[in-house]
Amino acid sequence: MIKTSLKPALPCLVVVFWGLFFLYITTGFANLTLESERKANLFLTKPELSLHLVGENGQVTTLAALAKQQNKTLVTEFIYTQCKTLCLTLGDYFQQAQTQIKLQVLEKKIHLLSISFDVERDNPERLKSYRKRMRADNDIWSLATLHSADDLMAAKEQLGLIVLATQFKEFVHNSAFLVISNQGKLLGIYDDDDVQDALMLAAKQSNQQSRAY
Amino acid sequence: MFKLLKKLLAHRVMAWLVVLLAIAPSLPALRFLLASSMMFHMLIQLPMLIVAGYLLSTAYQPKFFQYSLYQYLSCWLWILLAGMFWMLPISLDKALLNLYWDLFKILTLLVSGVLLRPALASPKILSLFFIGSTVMMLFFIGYFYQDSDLRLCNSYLLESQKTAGIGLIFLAFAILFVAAYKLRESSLLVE
Repeated sequence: MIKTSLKPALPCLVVVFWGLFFLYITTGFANLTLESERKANLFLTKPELSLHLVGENGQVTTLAALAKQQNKTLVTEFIYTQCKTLCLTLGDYFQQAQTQIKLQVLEKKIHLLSISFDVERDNPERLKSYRKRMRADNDIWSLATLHSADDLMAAKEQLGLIVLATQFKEFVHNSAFLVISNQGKLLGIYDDDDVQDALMLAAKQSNQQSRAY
Repeated sequence: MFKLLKKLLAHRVMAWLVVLLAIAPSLPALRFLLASSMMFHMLIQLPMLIVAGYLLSTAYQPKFFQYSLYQYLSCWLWILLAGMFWMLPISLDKALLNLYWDLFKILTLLVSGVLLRPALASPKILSLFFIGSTVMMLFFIGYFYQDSDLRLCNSYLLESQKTAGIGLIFLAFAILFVAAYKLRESSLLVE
């Protein structure tokens, strides 16, 4: 039996117990969703990315090789070309980003890259028609598909990408803008309504790189 | 007929059966039930765990309880905070992806159910306050879930989230009506 003098401690104990668990699962009330935890963790760990991609001409390359070849900071998004919902918005943001890059003469510094996770169906032809639809400028905006199901797995594990297949061959997926250095290292990850911050980080990063040379 | 049902529900075997039934969706073979629908997770498994705990406590009538205000308050706080914790999107996701969080979920909600019986025996004004808080919480979280165009749980589709939200609003109203019915003839001021 609990002693009388201890009784007021019991409700406090309950509150402290749950308070600690609330703090723990939300990392100090910072992340109420798993998605925000994923982004916060990626900002901390900044992993090297090793993804194999198939470009618009059918050439196989890696994300790191592409970054080095362009020698620019990449701003990347994951899409699939037949998407009728979320990716259209992502595409819009990239179109705006393209205009902005032209206006601010950042073509030599920032490169946009849309990566399709629809490994089975998004072949080079489909990428090309997507380019036409989006009016993507070759010098600013590249398109590619993940090479194989293994790369999709790697993207899921390294980046916390989530792709759920639904009926009617549609996908439900999470979305983010990834900023990747010209050496293929992840620098930052932003929410899908936050392309401005992604561009700002990319511009800042490429300024630092050019100063270093 | 009603009395027979009441007797049956108070039976120990019955209580353990409901416990098993509530835990079953967490087993690997039946996990697809939890994974496929947010509604199933939030509105069937979570409440069923609480009901199972309540039935256990009715069947065994544990004697650890002393009737003091602090203990009533502790019971209600546990129930409210546990409920709030398992309404968070990140908690649902983690319970689905991680075995330890799932075990934690099962244990804390069973305990909430066990504590619900003494909690309901507390002074009515205290019960009313905490039931009111729970109803408000369910209503707001339900409204938020069905209104949000963002997917809050990575493991569930947006559609699933919206149905779960509407379900939570219904649950809030159901609890409100039951509480109003129970309180219909009692005076809050005179015990």
